[in-house]
Amino acid sequence: MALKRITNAEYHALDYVSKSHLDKVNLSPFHYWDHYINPDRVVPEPTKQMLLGTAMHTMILEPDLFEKEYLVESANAPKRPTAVQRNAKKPSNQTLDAIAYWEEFDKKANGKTLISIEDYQRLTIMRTRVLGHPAASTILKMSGVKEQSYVWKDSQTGEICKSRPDFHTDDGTLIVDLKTTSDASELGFQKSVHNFRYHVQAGFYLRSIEEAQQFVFIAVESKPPYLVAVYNASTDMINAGNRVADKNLATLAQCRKTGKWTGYSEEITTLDLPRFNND
Amino acid sequence: MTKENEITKAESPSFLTDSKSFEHTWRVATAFAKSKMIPKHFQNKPEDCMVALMMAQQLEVNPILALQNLQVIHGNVGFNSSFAIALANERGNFVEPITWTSKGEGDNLAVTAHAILKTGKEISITVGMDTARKENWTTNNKYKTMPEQMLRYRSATWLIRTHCPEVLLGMQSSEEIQDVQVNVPVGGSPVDKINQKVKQKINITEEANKLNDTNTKLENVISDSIEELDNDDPFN
Repeated sequence: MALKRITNAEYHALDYVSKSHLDKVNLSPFHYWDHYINPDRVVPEPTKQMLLGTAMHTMILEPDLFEKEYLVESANAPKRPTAVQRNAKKPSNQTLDAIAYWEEFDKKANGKTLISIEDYQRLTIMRTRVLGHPAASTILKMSGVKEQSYVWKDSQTGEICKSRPDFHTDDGTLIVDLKTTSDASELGFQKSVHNFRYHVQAGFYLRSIEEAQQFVFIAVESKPPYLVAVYNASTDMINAGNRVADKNLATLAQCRKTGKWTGYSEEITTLDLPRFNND
Repeated sequence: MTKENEITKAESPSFLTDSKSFEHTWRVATAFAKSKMIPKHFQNKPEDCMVALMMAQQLEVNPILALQNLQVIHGNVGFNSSFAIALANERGNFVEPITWTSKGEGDNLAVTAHAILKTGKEISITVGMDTARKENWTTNNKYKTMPEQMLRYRSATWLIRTHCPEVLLGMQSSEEIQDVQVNVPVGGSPVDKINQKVKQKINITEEANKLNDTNTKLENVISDSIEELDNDDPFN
């Protein structure tokens, strides 16, 4: 079911099961408890990479919002004065200028996210690359819905689930997700799919829209040469994602029922070499 | 020797090796195709009728029965599920006909097909709406209008395919083919459609580049000719 238009923050505040929730359960039920239930939990600050990813989404998908939400630091801005400089009895003229500059800047920023000129330039190149990619630009020019939130009830567990696809076509048949990655090559992005469980996202998100048939990733490199590739999640990938999502949902429902949020094994476990080590 | 082995060992139908037999089958197929008593999808299609007749021969069933219960869907031949079930009840390894039980409703509806093998072993296969949803069969509208019937067909053909595949000769039921076909909308999947547009775009760009190259070459030839003309000594 599509929800009324809500902001990204409002979406994250909804206490339903998202793909990130499934990721935490997958690590261990205790990871989930510590992140979402623990009354003493500390909400981690978003990393620079996460902030850059969000800024890229806004710049490509909702460029009109970019100016409202972000403020770019000027290239020739003076260095932000330190607390010592600010509290000095006789600050230099240079420090006074810097203080005035940053006070004015912070007033303008007023709730906006600051972004360095270097990052802004990177984002601009990434946007140009995406819009210059034939398939990516064709998709983004299609008539569709951006950042729409959905909720549904999982029939097996009764868990209420939520999703927020970056973009889907008006008829709902195609869901699109924009991803920043260090390597958008086929092999590189396969590793990202494995590491960040993008297959689970594909399977899980396809459940949110009844008409949805396919899930496509627009992968953008976050470092030079900022190449772009567009990948369609294969049926096998989606099936695998669905299997894991079902497993994670079942674990979550079981933990809620029993109130037991286990971590790793409490017994001594014999450790073998990982499968990729051929020694 | 199992029944499956017997089938793989079966001799090829004579119409594939004997021209007289082929001609005869063709004539029969042509006559059937002219009849108004056969399903519309076979009328005026002697080629399709001939395939149905060949299958009837292979299955050892009455040709009329085969024509009534076989369908050609996008090049795939399939049985009506009810025919496949009747065939299995008659020839399968079952003591008595397949029966069904249902559980739940709506999204939780699940149907189990039951049978007892001649060895006395009870067998069953359950197919639920959750499986139908995951396999994308629900894009076939019949899963909304008559879900229990569709799940009965699915569970039974699954049971047959698992426990007596020789009955269906490896063919699918027409419902199974349709379920898969509805996943491929007219004009291709969304991704196919985008790729078609992208190819067109790339072709247009390549054509434009070729045109530009030709123009540049032409301009070069013209300017070279003018230069040559300019360099010619008019008094020589």
